[in-house]
Amino acid sequence: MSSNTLRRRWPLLLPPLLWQLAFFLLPLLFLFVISFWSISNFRLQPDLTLKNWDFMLSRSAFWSAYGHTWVLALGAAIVTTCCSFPAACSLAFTVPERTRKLALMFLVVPFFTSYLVRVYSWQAFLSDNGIVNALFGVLGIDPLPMLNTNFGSLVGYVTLSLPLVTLVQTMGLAQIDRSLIEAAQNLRAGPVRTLFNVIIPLGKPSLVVGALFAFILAFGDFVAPTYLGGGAPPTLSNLIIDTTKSGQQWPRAAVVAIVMILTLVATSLVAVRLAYGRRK
Amino acid sequence: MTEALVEIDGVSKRFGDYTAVTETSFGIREGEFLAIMGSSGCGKTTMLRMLAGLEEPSTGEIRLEGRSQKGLPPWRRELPLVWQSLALFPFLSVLDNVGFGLKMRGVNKAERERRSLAWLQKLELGEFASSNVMQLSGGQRQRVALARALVTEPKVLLLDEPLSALDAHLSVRMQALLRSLQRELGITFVYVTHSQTEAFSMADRVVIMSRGKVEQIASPQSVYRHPANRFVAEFIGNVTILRGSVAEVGDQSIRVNTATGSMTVSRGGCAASHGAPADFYINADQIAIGSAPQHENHVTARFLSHKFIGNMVTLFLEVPGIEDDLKVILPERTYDCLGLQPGDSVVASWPSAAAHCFSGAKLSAGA
Repeated sequence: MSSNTLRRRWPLLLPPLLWQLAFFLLPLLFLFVISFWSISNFRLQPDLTLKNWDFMLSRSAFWSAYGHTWVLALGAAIVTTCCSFPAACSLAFTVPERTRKLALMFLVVPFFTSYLVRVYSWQAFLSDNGIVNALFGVLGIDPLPMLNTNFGSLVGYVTLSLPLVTLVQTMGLAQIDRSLIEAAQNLRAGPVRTLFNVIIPLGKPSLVVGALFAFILAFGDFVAPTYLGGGAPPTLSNLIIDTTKSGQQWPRAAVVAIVMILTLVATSLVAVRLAYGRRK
Repeated sequence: MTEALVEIDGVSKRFGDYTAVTETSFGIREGEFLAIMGSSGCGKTTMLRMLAGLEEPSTGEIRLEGRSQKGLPPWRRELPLVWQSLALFPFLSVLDNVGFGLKMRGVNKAERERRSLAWLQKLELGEFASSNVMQLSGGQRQRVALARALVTEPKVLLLDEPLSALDAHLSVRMQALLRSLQRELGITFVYVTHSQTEAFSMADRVVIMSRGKVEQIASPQSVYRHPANRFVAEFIGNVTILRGSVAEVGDQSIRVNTATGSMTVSRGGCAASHGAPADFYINADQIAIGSAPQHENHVTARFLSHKFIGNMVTLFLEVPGIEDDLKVILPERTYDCLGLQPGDSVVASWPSAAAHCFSGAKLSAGA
């Protein structure tokens, strides 16, 4: 678009700009401001104090929740990426285009039901006398605790992001120039070597972006760690809930939220550099 | 054809209802430069892909040094291909692109880099070894693709229209490079192209394909002088095809009656019988133009238009009773001396040796 047409059509950009300003930028600014307010008599009091920052950042409970959340989100990103990749590969390379489009449409279907409902239904599978452990019993395997563990949280995270990550990976892999894959095979690379030497390097942007989505969704999610992970040890989202419930500590919750946002911004920057950075 | 390095034996390829290649057999000799030529959709690229193992023939088989390649996946074959799109790996340096095939063969890093660099230097790309392939120009990338395919020293190199993306000047230089490389290395080149210039300037033999079938396999000279049939003659485009019926059959020549009179046509190898319909062609560069006949066969024609092709000029003449224009190729200076204006009446004449029956034709009354 030339600068001229941009100048004439700028009113078209107004609605999304206003929306972002009113419902994203201003609340974010408000969140930042609140983190310097104080609480007296369970009421928010405008103030300019570093007490909240000092209180949260000096507590080991905060940092252990931070570390726990980070590790869980990283685990979710890795597990989701690995689970999606075989499906994305076969959708991108082996099925005809019609089938691929149909499959991509079906990947959206899980979003028709509420995430909360999907997580709740996992309880029926994962609880101590749930479906999986019942099957284990039939096979003569001792029951395994799965609900209210990190494994439970991970199952929830994967449920949340798997369709999206598969979608991102499939679209990325499908764009790989087929002649590059054929060229590798022509130069005597078998299927496994073609995968590691050509498909993964070329599919790297979509793999990293997919993993980043999974990381972001897991990092901020409170449904899975609460209902499948049991809330203990707490993640940062659990910490926000606890902080607001106990004594209306909105300023402290705001501190947690800002730290989370900064973490995600930093992670995204690193990921984007990893995805699109030129290799030497 | 005992010396054939690659044998293509009754090969056809169908994609669903579409037949890309029909029942084709020919041999590729060791050390030759073979060009497969045809317009788009004639099956030439499919043929090349079957050689590389990227497509499996629907029927028939391909043999390399007598060994059937049937069912052999591409990564077990020794037939590197130079892609039309080049298909260089954008995430690898120039050196690593060239060394890819060696790496897949398990050649160690030092040896790999030594051999890749030697090839890059041979193709005057040594200084770009550590560059990204995307930073190179079209001609440089072309040479990287060539080095990547040649570094493993194959017996046969397959090339799929590798010069079609280059400008004319660069293409001519690459043709010279390819030809000299092929001579020097003694490697068999199988070169697919739609360009007559490329095929004729480089190849020892040319395979002309049309609609999945081979129309003629011969040296460029004999394809040019003795097209096997009407298709090849029209494809090469340097002749005018006339139609008539056989009036008299002699040892060396036959007489053919046409709509513009009776003409002598050299017989060549074709079997002819009296009264049979006969197509024959006249080489455009053997026709003389003047105000009086200079050879035994002649027609009076009207000059229509001309087209420059460098130092030669193609003239188009209208001959009463003949559907196609009579094509005449003259040196530019000769044309200039004639001083023709469109609409002028001229006499075109040619010796009987300039007119031929198609080499594959059988001119019998029943055909």
